[in-house]
Amino acid sequence: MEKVSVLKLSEKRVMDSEGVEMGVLHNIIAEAGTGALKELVVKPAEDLDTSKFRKEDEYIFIPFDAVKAIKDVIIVDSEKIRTRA
Amino acid sequence: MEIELSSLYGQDLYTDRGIRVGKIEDVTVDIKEKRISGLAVKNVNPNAFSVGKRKGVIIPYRWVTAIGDIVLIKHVKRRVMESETEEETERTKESK
Repeated sequence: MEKVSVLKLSEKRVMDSEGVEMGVLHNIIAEAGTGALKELVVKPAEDLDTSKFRKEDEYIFIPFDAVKAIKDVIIVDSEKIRTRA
Repeated sequence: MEIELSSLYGQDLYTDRGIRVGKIEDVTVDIKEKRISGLAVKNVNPNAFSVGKRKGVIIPYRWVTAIGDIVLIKHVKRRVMESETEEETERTKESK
C-alpha cells in the first residue's frame, strides 16, 4: 500500500492540512545515493502565496518531510511548511 | 547528488559488468520510508533477466550502484524473476 508509482502521482493535487489547495505535483527530488525522497516539485495554484517557498521557474519546492498522506490527493502538513519559511 | 525522479524515465539500465538490463519506465516510492523503493524496467534484455510473458521487472533500488547519464545496478546472475519479487529477493539477500 505504501508503495506508489511515481508516474501515477504526477499531476496529483497537493493540499495542505487546512484544506488549502497548493497546486499539482510536477516532480519529486531524491538523493541518488540513498534513494531518500527530498522534495516535492509543485506547480502552484494561481492564488497560492508562494513567498514562503523556495522557487525555481514556475515551480515551488515542498520538503518531503511535510508530506502527511498520499492517496487520491497529496496532503502536506501546513505547520511544517510554515515553520520552514 | 540530487535527481528529479522523472529524469529517470526512459534511461537505460545496465549492470556494473556492462550488461544492458532494460529501460526505466517508472519509479516506485515507499511513502512511509520516504525512499525510492524500486525501478520498473521494460524492454528487458532476456540475457539479463528472464521475464517470461511479463512486461517487465521491478528492480529494488538497493541494487542501484550509480546514477549518471545511465543507471548501473549490481550484477546479478541471470535468474527468473516474477514481476514483483522484491520481497523474495530481499529474503534471499538476507539469508546470505
